[in-house]
Amino acid sequence: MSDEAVAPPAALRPAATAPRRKQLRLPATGLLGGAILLLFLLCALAPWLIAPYDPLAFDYMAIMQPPSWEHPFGTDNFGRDVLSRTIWAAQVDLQIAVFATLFPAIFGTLAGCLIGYAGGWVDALFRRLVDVIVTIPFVVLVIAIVAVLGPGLLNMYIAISAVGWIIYARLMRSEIIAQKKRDYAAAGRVMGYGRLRIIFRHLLPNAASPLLVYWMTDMSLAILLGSSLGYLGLGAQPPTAEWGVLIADGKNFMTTAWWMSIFPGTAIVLGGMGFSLFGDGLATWLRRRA
Amino acid sequence: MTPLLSLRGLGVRIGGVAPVSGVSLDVGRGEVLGLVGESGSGKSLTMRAVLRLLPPAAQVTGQVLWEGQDLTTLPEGGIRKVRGGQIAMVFQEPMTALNPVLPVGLQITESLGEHLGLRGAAARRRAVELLDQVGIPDAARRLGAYPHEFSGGMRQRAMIAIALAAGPKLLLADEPTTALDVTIQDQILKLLLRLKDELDMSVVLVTHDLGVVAGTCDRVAVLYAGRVMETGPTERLFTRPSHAYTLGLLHSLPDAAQARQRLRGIPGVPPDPAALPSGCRFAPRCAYAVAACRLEQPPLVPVAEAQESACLRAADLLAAGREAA
Repeated sequence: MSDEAVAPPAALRPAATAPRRKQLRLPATGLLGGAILLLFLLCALAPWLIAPYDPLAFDYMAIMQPPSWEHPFGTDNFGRDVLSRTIWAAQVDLQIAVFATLFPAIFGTLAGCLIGYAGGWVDALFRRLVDVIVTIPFVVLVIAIVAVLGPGLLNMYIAISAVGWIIYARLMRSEIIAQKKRDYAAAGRVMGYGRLRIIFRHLLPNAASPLLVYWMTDMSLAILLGSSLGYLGLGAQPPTAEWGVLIADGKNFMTTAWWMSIFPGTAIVLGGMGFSLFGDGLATWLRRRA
Repeated sequence: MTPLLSLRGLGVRIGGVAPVSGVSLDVGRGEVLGLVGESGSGKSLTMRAVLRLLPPAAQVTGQVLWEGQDLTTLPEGGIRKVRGGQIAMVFQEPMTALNPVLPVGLQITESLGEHLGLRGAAARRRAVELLDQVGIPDAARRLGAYPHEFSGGMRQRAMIAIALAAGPKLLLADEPTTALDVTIQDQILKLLLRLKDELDMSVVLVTHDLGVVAGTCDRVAVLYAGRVMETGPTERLFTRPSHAYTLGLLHSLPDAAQARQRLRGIPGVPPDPAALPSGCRFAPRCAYAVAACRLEQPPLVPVAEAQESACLRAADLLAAGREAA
């Protein structure tokens, strides 16, 4: 049976029936997304082991070489190996994926929980704030903030965080509002538990799965945004290898050296896909488990 | 001796309507009080008002005396100590009242930690004892189980174990068996009675099932449209009802001795709390109503030993009952 081939070894297998085991496994697309992410994670953690060349080393004997066995992704206008630069860039881009979403996710979750549970005028105030912020396109707002703070990765994180937490807060607010009406929340109050205990111990774990899924999606968005800002020269600064920066570097040579932009571009697409598929799979898995 | 819990003219007002008004009840130590009434008669609201669990829009009037102390004026910190610690509550739906993502054992130890300061291995041991006490087999292994792994009856048992964790003196059971099979109902009710004796608690059993009341309660209070119609010892109320509504309820029960008889229901529906009739709230549906019934609300007055009724025709009803007997 093909199912058995991918199942974990007998020792790890829970004593459950076959259909249940199948239900508890991440769906195939999710596994694919996970595999892509794992590959990129490997590139990010130990690029020196995987990349064949130094990403910053110029080689004037091999400028703008098309893809070959020696340089699978070709070389750029300084003779730098595009494959090596793309691999090293994974480090920067995964870092963007995590750092640009970590603060918004944590702070937004805290804020959303408290706002959702409090309700009343706190909630009304928050809804007005959301109304105002969503009228301004997200990217435009981030670019405006970066323009004020000055370009660079740190300022980019600050800009994305300043705006991004709102979305998490909105998501958690609605989840908490739905959860706080459930009987177990009332049961917690009956037991004499305090507000914070009810919110974070009882409601949050029940409301966390959409959060996790959105976080995954948001990481892919962060990579795209980070690359866009890098492309515009507002994010990672050259010579740091970052996918957006690599594409920008190659854009002047599109007609003569397409490989300079196409391969980093493919990496962005793959990375975004990896997070999306994994997030989707995670959502399905959490739904089935519930 | 002062009663454990004493409601004095308790009223709940939400917006312009008053779904509960002027409810006075006593719960003695070691007593099982049945709170009976149709849907919407204010049973659950009354229970929630005791623990101040109503939405902020609800206004509570009157007094809730817990061992002589008024809970309605207690600060938030004080009421939290009472909740769970002294008065616990079990809900109708064991499916939803347990937190679905936390193991059952953890939900018990949480209460132990909060109210008794019991943590770690000691809390674990106590949790096993509690699960054992409520009749969950193989309790030690069940600590790590999630609510969805339990059947309905087991969940209600687990719910009771959580409620009893802090050793409350009073258990408010809000239709604890309504969502369960009849056989499980019986088990849960027997369990409640056994635990009441073992733990020296009082129980308020909210229900609309008179059969449940007859089998378990020492005393009954009949609620209709947010008011107490009649209270008295269970035995007395079932054999000598002194309120037309109680009589109507008893008549609407199927009688095994007269199988295949048409049921004698009470005509009409309970009044809308936004448009209550003047006078006795039951008068529009009452077969015994006289002109005086529609003029003003009859007060709850003693009609016999330990029996009180808010019916102008209580004396007639009692007399008729004596003749029939």
